[in-house]
Amino acid sequence: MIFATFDPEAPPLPEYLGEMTWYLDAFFDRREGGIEVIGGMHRWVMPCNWKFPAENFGGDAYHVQWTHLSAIKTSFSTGVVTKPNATGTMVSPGQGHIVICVGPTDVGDPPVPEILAYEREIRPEVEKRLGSRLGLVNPIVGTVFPNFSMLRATSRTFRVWQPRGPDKTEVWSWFYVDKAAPPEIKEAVRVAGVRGFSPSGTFEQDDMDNWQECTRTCRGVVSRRLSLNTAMGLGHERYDEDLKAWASDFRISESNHRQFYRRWAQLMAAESWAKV
Amino acid sequence: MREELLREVEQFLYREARLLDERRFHEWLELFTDDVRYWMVGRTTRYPTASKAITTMNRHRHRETDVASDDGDLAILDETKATLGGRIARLDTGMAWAEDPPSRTRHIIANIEVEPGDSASELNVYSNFVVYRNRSESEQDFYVGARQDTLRNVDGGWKIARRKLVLDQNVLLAKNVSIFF
Repeated sequence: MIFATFDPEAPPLPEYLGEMTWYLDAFFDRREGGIEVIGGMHRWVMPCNWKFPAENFGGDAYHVQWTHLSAIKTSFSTGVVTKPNATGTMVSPGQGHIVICVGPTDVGDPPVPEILAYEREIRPEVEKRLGSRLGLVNPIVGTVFPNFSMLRATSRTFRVWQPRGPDKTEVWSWFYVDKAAPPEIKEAVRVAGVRGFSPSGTFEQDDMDNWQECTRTCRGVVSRRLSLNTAMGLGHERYDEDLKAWASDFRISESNHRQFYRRWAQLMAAESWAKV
Repeated sequence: MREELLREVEQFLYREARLLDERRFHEWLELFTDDVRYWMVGRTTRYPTASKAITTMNRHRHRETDVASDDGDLAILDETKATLGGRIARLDTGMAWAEDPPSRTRHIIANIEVEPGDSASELNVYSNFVVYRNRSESEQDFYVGARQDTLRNVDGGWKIARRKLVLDQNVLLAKNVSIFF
């Protein structure tokens, strides 16, 4: 995975990512050898502003039970818990990066029996590599500011939301898997991704409809007169020394939306990196 | 191929298309065998091996076909009868927002060719599709491509035992694939 920028004044990558590097490792460096990409990629064009998918992946824990209930109920044959757990937290390691974490013992993987069995088997190795922070949170979906997102919960995907104008976004989506995983697990991840998180995905197709309608609604004469309300959970967040990140007290909160849009507004207004 | 058989296959495919356009998905599902593989592959953009536009490449490793492989590559759909049934059950929940309100579809099936299959009870059937999807006020998409079907004679009637869909797009220009083909 290579990150690049055309901006000669941009800070070096480790500085730009900061504490987000540990959270990236929790997606991509769980086993010796790292990850590999499954053949090819999905590319498609969505009629929405790029910020909706970016904030959704990094902060919108509360859309799941309404947007995706149809898929949760019908897409998996076993092991699905529709009751929302109370554990977990919204995490922002700073600079606009945002991650949704479930509780350390909550399932954060596709509810496919062989994938769950595989995850149980590799758990000691993952714990050893990621250290004690994994005993506090289980990161399942997030966004590296501004438009790179990743997801573990219904498949293994990372994607770039390419802006194609204010109301159009092209998705570049890859599936990935631990390089050390056996072939049948790689195939299970591929199939779970195609069926759940792809242009036809039983989860993802409903997201796209939401983002399209959010974009349309925001263009309205009356909605343009109003401010965006992201006040959910305001005042119920703090810097957590162990997570090395801003964290919400409760799993359902817009604390990550505030972190994301605060950084966006800051960078949009700044004349140069020196003034950020 | 006997003229009569060709007509029979055509009528089978036209009726199937009508079931989809009338959103009679449970009846449509019954047209598939229990062991069906139903998948849609995408296309990529590739230089032909003989192209002078590129100067450095390993000709032995170059894959000229622009159709994604059947196994291992990402498909747009890759379904069994059970997961097709799951997609239909999802539509029945009343919470499948991508199809709420539903798409208006029109499936045009053409260029039908019928060939003998791998066994006496099977046929290989090729066809092309143009699917128009219109939804809400002004959303519209065209999905155009080819189908490679295996039809199997089960108890005197035809069932689809395999369906490969090849979509003629690299970047999918529709926002999603929430309909059937």
